[in-house]
Amino acid sequence: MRQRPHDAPSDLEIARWVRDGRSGSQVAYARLFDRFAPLVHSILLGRFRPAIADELTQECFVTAFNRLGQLNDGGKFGAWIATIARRIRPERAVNEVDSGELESHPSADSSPEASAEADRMLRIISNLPEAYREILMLRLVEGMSCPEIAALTGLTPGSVRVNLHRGMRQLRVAAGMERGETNVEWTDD
Amino acid sequence: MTDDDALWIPELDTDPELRRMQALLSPFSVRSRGLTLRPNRQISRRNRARRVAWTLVALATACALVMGVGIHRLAWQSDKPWGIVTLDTGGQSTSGALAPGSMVTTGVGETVKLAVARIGELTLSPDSQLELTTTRTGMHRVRLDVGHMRARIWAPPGYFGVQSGAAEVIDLGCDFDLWKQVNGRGRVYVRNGWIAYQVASREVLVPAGYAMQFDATNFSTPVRSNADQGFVDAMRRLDQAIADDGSDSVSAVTAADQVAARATDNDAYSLLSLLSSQPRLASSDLYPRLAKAFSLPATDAAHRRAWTEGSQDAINAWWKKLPVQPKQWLGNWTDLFG
Repeated sequence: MRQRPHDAPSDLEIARWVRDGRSGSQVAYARLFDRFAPLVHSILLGRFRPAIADELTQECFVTAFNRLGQLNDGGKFGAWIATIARRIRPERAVNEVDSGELESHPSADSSPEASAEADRMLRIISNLPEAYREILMLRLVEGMSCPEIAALTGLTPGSVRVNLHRGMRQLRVAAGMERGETNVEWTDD
Repeated sequence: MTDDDALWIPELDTDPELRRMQALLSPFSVRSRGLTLRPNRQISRRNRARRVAWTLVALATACALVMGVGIHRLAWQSDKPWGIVTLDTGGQSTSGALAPGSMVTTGVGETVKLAVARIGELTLSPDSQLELTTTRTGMHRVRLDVGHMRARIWAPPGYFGVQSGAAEVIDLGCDFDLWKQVNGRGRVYVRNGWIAYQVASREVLVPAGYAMQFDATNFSTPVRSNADQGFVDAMRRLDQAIADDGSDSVSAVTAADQVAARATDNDAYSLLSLLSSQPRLASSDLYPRLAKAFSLPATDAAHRRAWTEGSQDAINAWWKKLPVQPKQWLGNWTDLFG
């Protein structure tokens, strides 16, 4: 049986938020956003520049809240909005992570060297297979533990563990931190 | 590989390379980038240019706020105790900490001030009892068993809430008072911003200047604190008629007509809240009275029929007429730096 971290909401609780959200509850919207924004943002950060990922995160939730009536099982909101995030496209043409210029400074106190290195890491992760990419974003960007990632994504802790270790291995190899059997093609602009 | 490796549990922090990668990438997280839901009662598609412009402004504002003070204010280690200061009748103060699961009780003439993590403050009046039930980033909950408390919160909607029996008072960015008796009856008054009062799947929004009463299972329609007593009494009779006989009953419709007769334009929010929770009453005099308060024609039979049938679109159309929207919660933090 899959275990949830002690403070992770149950499917029943999420279904209740969805039900309340259908009647326009601000509190329900806020709870769904707080719970699933890291998942949606992580998916989008693996596909787009951070500024676009931020914008599209809001767009995903607007879309989802507008279509709550179409969701049959409210407890599956996470998987549903993850699908929305994987399919969403910005209206204007942007070839996101590879061709776009990443934010020059991800935070106000980061040095130019740290920013460049952060950009490089993001690009490498974005070129990894989707199964590794999203979990690595949740672990390294959002700082979530494996049990938390499992609870959020609906994957088993075992799958998260395997994908995380394989993804980290590929990331380290691609970033030149260690020699490995796996080569990841990565193009630095 | 074991359960306790640093990759599995971030707090272990035993892998320097992993720590470096996290430090590099954490500024891209939802929290660091200040991503918060734009509260809006009606989530709807808008003109794209306006939405992008609004997003940029909102993000810039949110980032400035969050990067400046927000990250520090909003983040809170799970189960970390809150600071507490007890003031006795002689004016002497005692400092301490309140851990989750702990209760604080004030005696005669004794007042307690609590720091709500870093997102606000809570004052507990004499002869009151409160328990800190949950505290972590994004989720701070207390339970008021008896007495009076005032909370001033500067955080996004839902971060702070007060459990009161089966109900929960959810802060939407505001300053409010809550009174609770041993028998479960009580009252909420909102000084600034909005709160949501929830019992099971029922929810009512209460704006600044409005108060509502509740008992163990039910709650009243919010009314202005300075509303005409005749209007307040009529509203109480209507709430009771709905609780006893349902909103379709003759007694409820009769009481609704009396409320409409006593209402002024300043009572528009009470009427809107009532009609939102009891849409069938749009067939009573309440609908034309609310239309008059909003300076709208009451002759739109299709809109009135849709409202009576519970159409969220029809109801939302009139919510937009409110001069102060729940989505303006950020603007309620007028005393943030005070």
